[in-house]
Amino acid sequence: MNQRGFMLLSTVFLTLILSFTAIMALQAMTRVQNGDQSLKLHAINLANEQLAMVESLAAQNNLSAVKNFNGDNADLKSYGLYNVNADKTPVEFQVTTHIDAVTENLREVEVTVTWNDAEIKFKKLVRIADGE
Amino acid sequence: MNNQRGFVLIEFVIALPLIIMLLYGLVQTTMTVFSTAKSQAADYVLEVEAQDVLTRITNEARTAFYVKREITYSGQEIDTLVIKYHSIKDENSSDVVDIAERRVYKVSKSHKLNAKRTNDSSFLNPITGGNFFGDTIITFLKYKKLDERVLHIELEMESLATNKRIRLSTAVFMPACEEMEGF
Repeated sequence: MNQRGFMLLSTVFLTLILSFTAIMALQAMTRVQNGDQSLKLHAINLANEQLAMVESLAAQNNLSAVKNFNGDNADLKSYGLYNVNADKTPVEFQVTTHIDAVTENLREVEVTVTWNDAEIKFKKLVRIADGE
Repeated sequence: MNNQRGFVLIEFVIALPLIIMLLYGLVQTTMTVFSTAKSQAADYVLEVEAQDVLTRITNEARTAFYVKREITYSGQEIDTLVIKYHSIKDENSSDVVDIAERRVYKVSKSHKLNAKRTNDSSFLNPITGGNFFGDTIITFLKYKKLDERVLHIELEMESLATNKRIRLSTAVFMPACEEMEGF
């Protein structure tokens, strides 16, 4: 009989190569899927900043002063996770704020933060001082 | 008849460089895989720790009746924040606690953020740094008054494993705050 299958060594090498390729592909996929995380963190904090400003204005009975974004305008840019020694390009964020009356003294505030193709929304009830 | 044969010299000559090249590729791939995994873990730690610092500060500032901004070290872009707040009254217990707590967020010279509960000289309760997957330091921490009873916090942290940085800003409204000093 002259029939021969694969040598054990061939199988071992093939398995090694395939497994390393799979690991690299999985890592790359994780990185691509999670690459936006730092920008999302920035967006969440930006929304909280605007909600803090709206709360403050509501406590001063001055909700008419609420703009789309009342925070620090410098915060509307982020570099995400960046390398100290590399060139960096900022990502621009847009914030919009919408207020609905719930009761005489309660308002529902909706803050939307958008960047690139992503968007997050935050809603919060705020109480105004003595009605407006 | 003995038909078993080993390798001939020419087969070794051809196969050996191929095996060496293959092994070299595998070693390179292994190093890349481990390096990428380490870098991803360090990025994750940096994001989590930065958010944790902001959350800790905003949570305690939220209940403050007094906040004070101090310069930590001259020339450094890092402030110290002193927060005073009332602890919660325990109405169901005979031991009613109604004392003013004091929390000081100060960066030590090793750039780890500490949150001292009292005003003694020792650093207590460090809340950043020391993570095995990627140690972090605080490179920038500034506070400013954004509006009436609104504290703006800007934080930058760096991963010592990857030299990557993240900068986050937020603000917190302090409904019970009576005084903001040093802003």
